[in-house]
Amino acid sequence: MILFENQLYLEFPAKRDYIDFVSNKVVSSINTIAQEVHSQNITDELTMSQDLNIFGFGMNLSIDEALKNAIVHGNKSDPRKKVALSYYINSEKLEIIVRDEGIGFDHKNYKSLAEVDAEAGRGLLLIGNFMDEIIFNDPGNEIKMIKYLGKSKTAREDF
Amino acid sequence: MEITTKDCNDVKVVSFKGRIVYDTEEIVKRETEKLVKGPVKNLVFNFGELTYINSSGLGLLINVLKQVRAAKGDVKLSNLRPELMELFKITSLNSVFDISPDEETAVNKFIKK
Repeated sequence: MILFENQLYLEFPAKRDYIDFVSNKVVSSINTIAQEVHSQNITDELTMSQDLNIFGFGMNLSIDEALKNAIVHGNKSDPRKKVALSYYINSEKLEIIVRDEGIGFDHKNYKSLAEVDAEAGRGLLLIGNFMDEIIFNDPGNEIKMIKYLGKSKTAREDF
Repeated sequence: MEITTKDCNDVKVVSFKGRIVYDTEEIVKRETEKLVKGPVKNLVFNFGELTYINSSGLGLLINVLKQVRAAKGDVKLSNLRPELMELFKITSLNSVFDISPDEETAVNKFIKK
């Protein structure tokens, strides 16, 4: 079994135009690492989940929603403000941190949308369904999203 | 992002191909705006080739649905991929939209009325 870890940090101006590009690049970068390790440890079933699509739709969506929140709600779409994204991955888990330069929000009392047919307010609900853990810093301008590899706690491993 | 339409009796079937992301949202907005203003208010959205949508895109769909229902029409969805179906379940939007496994079933729901 090969132990590994990898990390990345990037910063960019708070513009919606960057969301798709950044989330696609980050997902494909994480997938490249995961697949590399998977192919080296192909005989060791315990190392990684067999399902390489684990970083597919749900991961893309979680990063997408976190970046959108940071840019639109955190930084109020002010391109002079920055959004920072970093991830850390090892054989056990993937952690993604997204931070903005806004004042944060009251994450302890936050409830996803009041009405089922509201036109906004689903981002955190979606992130919460795909990720195993979500941790906010105290002001609420930074979200840490954690996904455990192989032994996911959620029922939606394939999502 | 490609959006194509065809008429089936009094129903307009709209097929979505690609991803609804921030880059493609404007196209979707523009095309759905045309539909909302058009004469046919019975719409079937075939999502068979729609591979991605985020919360912003879901908001856009709800906006279209509300406008169409206000004009006594409806938007029915069909052919959702498993990931998309999962999204609609997580957000309980499967109770807001009428979702059919295939296009024909969705179209027939209008005709039977």
